Amino acid sequence: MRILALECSTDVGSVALIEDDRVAWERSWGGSQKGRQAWVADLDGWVRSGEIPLSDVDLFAVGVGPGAFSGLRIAIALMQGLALPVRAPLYGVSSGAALAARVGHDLGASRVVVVGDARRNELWLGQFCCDTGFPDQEIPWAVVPFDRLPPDYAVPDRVWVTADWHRIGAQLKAVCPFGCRLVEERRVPEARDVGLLAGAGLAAGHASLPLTPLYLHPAVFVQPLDAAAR
Amino acid sequence: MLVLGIETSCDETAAAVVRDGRFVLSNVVHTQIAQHRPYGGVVPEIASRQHVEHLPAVLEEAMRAAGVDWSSLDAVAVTHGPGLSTSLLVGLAAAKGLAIRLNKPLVGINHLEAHLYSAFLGPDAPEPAALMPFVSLIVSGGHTAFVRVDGIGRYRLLGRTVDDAAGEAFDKGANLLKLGYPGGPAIDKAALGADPAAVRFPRGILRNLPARLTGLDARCCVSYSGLKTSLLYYLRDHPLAGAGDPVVGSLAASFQEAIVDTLLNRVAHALGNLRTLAVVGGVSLNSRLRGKLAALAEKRRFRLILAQPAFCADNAAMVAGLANHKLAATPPPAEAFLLDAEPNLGIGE
Repeated sequence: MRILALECSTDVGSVALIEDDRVAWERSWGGSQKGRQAWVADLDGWVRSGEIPLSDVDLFAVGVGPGAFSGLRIAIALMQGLALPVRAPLYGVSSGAALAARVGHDLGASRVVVVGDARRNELWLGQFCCDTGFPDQEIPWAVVPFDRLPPDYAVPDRVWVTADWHRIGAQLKAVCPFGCRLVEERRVPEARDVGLLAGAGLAAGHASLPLTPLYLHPAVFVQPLDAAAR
Repeated sequence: MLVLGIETSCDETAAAVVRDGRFVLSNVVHTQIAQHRPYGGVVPEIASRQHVEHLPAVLEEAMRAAGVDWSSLDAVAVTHGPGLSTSLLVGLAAAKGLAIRLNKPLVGINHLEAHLYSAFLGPDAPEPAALMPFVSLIVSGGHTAFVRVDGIGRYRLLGRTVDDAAGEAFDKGANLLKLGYPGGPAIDKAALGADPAAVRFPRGILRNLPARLTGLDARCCVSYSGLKTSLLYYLRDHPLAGAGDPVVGSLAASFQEAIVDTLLNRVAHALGNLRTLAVVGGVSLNSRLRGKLAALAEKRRFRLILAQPAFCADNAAMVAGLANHKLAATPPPAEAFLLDAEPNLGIGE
């Protein structure tokens, strides 16, 4: 099976081609190096040059977050555009699960806590069990203040990792529970892991995640007019 | 030439297939009014979430309704501005994906220019060349402007609102009168049969323009912020008795009259020595505006072109139709895939 995967939940995006559970080709880009949409022009070039054999792709996979909404929306909409005309399947993968799978593999960790900057002095986090080929989310995503971590997380022997180390690293050092290992560098979800998880998930009969960004905040912070009037 | 158009600049998720710039094979619009109604206006984050969720189905329906294959498309066109940045991005990304998949040109379209073009959609609409030059009044929820059109791609902004668009004024007025959202249709309906002269609201005459509008003619610019404040103060001094107060009809009619007259008062000056006025955009559906424009056209002896109702509010047919002419004039640039959302894109400035 040939899978084309795209991951844009952070400002470091990537695209990968997976062939029979192997990474056959991949590219990445940094948001600060080029314009926001420059990588799409590169993608067009890779298709035109044959580096991405679009017509031979069996499955499209996309990271759906949590992460930056604009990047996620661009990635999902673009992949829908690539898949729609040929009715190719598009599979949504948790970007958090992709990061957990990579870190779990690299560090031999069984439990990985994926953390992100939710702004307003809050973080978002979720915990994955990485004992199998497909990370199982044991604790669902939640947004909490830095100083009020849920008791579920006060457990040793977890690996904590974040793509937002440059923003919240110092705060994470202060709150990471005793006995847990904090990855003290920025680690971002990668398309190769999104693709590998899509293949594994499909083979295991897991349904795709909804093809919308994983929203951890409500769309609006104001009450509807009627409610405000009450 | 067969063009697929995509429009996601605000709160309508739209796709359309247009042949040869005027024959609309499909025109699918998924409106988000129900999602925004509780807030009395468009919430950008809700709009963007809705676009992501609904665009694929809208695209599929547009292709199905048109009865054409994806492979028969000659180009993909998409609105890239002006509009809500987070909404524009969704349509842009989908259009790029489709263009890459289909190996067809990608055409970025200015939303305002597309509205100007909407007057030429449909088998009975005039040919663009037969109308040039003319003046177009774009009047919608987000825009109110007079534009001189000398050809497709050749525009000169004559004047525009200095604050609220006409559609925003309707929304705010309807909110004050508790008529619901969207305000334009609600006020239009409430005003039917009521006395438009019951209350004399201001017509927003401008004598001096803000520095940011230097170069425009004050006589072609409009302002609606004072009108809204005037209604607010009127209601403070004359509170409504409650839901169903019969005075709401006459207030709605009077408020609507002020919005319409403000536009009509600029028409003669905007036209100058030209004899054709095209009126486009969602507010051009307003029955009072249509009626008074028709009367003015007859009295002043100018030709009035109104976009067909299906193409007045935001739609993708106008995007696809315009793209046909763009492609015929110049091939799409090699850097089309670098196209980004331009929330503040203007026209003829």
